[in-house]
Amino acid sequence: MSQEEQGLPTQDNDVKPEEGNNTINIKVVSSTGEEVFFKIKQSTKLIKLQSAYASKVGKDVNSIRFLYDGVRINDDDTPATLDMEDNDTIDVMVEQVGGTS
Amino acid sequence: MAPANSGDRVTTNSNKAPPRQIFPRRSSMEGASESEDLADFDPSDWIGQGKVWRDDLPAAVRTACKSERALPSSVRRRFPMPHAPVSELLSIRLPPILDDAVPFSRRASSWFSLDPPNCVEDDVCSLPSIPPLDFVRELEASFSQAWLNGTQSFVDHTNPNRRLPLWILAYFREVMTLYTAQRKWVESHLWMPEEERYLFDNLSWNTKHAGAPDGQLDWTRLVSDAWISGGIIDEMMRDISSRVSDDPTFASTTMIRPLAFQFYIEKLAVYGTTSKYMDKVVVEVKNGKTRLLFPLHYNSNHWMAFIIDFSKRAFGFGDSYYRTGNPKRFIRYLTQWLVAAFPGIAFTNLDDVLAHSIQTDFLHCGLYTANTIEKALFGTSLLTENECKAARIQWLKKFMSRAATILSPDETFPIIEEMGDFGAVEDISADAYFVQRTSMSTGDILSLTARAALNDSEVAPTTCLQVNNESPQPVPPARDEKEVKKKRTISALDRLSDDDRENSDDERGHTKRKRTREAVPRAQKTTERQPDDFPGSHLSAPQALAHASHHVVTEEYLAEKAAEDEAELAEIEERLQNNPDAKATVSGRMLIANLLNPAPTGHTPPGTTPIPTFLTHGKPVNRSVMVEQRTRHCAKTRVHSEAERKPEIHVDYLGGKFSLNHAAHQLKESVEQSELLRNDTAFQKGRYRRWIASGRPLEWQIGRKISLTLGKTGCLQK
Repeated sequence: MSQEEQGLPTQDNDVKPEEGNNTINIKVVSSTGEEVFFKIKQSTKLIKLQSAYASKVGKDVNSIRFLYDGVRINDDDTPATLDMEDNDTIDVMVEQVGGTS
Repeated sequence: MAPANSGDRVTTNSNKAPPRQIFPRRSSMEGASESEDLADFDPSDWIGQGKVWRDDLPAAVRTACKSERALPSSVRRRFPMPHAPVSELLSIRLPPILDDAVPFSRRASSWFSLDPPNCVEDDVCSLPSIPPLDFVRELEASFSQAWLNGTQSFVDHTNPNRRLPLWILAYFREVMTLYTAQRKWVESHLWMPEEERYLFDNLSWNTKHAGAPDGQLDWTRLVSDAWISGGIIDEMMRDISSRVSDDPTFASTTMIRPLAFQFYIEKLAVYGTTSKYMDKVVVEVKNGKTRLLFPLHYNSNHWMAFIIDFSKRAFGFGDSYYRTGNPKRFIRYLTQWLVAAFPGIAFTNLDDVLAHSIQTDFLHCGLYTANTIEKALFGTSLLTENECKAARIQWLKKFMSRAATILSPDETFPIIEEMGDFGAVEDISADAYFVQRTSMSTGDILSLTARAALNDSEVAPTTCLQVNNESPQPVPPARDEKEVKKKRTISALDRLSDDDRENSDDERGHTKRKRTREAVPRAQKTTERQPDDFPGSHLSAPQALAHASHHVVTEEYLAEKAAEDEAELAEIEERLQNNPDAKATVSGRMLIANLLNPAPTGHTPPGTTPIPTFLTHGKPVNRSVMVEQRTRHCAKTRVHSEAERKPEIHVDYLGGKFSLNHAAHQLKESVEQSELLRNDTAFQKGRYRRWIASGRPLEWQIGRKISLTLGKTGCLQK
């Protein structure tokens, strides 16, 4: 098994990137406990992560909501703007509607 | 070429399995390398070489395929921006979506062509119709392999000699997105009292921001009788929370939390997942906060308010649709958290303790939830069912007010950045593109006619005006192009504005008659001019030709044309409304659905029911077949209802079991209602559209103007 397949940093990732482009690992956890791991740059907009996650799990990105520390993630947010740290978790909530019971 | 990024970089894990860090493909997350990938791509290695498409093909190939179908920015600019006002979105006209009533090949391979595209962008953007979404998905699924096989274009099934570019799929998608948005906002527009509709002039139709992370399209749920979404509930809580923060009485004692609180409570109980969010709540309580109020989503369809009073060591809820012991499971989860977070303290369940309204409808529990919390905090009066509409509008105003503070005028809208190289906002007219479908050819004809005439006479149009009036007259001032185009656009709004008055036939009839009366005299006014009034009466024949052509392109002509269009449409609408069958069975909602989503040539002869044509004889009819048929044949908006039609077969009174008889009955009823109006409107509208698109009205207008001019100058007699 290659280094990359084991989820370990690859040679490319070991190269120190420029300031502001540091990559971090982020875990996205669904409401049923399933986890998907991403490695993204600090400056990458999280909308890309959201789209990639939705595509991966086969859901419409508009039908799920992404929470970081209980706060809804906006399209414009990046790991840097949210002060995210390596191995932080993003929670996925299903969109809800209600009118009566 | 070695495959880049071999191996998956994204993976899923069950909760119990140890996390395996495999990362997403570079291309899916980092668009910066796309141009490099494209540079590495050599078509001769891949296209038409018998290659089979796989997801693990080199990034360069995948990027090249993706870029082939990407929508050009020049086309994207023709669509209304997400922050364009709702009123602008409503004014655009979209090409109809084909359905089974119109024969078209559902075999994806017949749509792909090895020929290069042979039409210009304007041709593509003026297609008379587009295929339905399910078929577009099918085309998208087949596209990658077809592209490897050498496909360079799509066959235009409305014109078999025409080849459409590969980005047509993205174009179809964009149009469908607009369709959905337009339908929702039209519903909201009709729901909104007339005196409040001015709000739509300042409300963007789908801007995303912190106050509307799902986009403002989600607010259509607020300004309609739709169920309230979680995004709206959270925004309500944010508003209440800000009021609590501003009030010194509550600021130090009270917390308002959004839906995230329930989410983390349940997650903790079910998966044992701790979170910083819940830790912060505990810290807040230890710092002196005594009350926590939050919304609770129950049974996947209901909102209620919940309170935890840490000083009284009790919790309870306020359920507008109260049934004893409603949120039992959540209370169990909450108790587990309380026991763990505040050891040694026993909390009492006070049950339905908050003062709340009694819900008699099936729609407004979200409003009652916010009202219950406001009542508990600020003593707000309890909401009655009759006040719900006003409350929804009030909330919309609050949301808009907050959005205005979030989005300062200088701020770049996030969605614009995301979508790419849009021009300046003021350079983009939302309806410009859609008007082009009828006016581009018109414009060409006009300019050609004018140029030909001017070359003949060597007299500029401005000179004509000066000669005629004996004193220099300015050329008609540079018009607000948008205004002209708006006039010319037969807007969805105009078509529908009267339909919400379905409870008052007299009023509707009066309005339409009035509109017709207003429109027709405007058209007649210029055609019945007296010779002395006519501006070209002293001109030579070439000058008259030039003048007539020039006159056609002036504002007056456009206004006339718009008025005639209006009159024509009003007549069609009136004819529809006077159809007793339609009036008996169809309410305004279906009218909307059909006007927005007509079948262009799907005319079924009166008296024939479409049911037998699609029930599959000789094959087993099960639930999925019926659902598919229902989805395919029924308009998406339910008759006599605000809600969108769900394709599912209703089984509630049959004990949850599928009943063919019941499903067939439901399907028949829905389809009959759909078909009746669909046939009435689609046929007439199709004729009208074809008439406009053929350019005959314009030819007739130009010919009339020229002959009128020549006639007045006596050239014909000479």
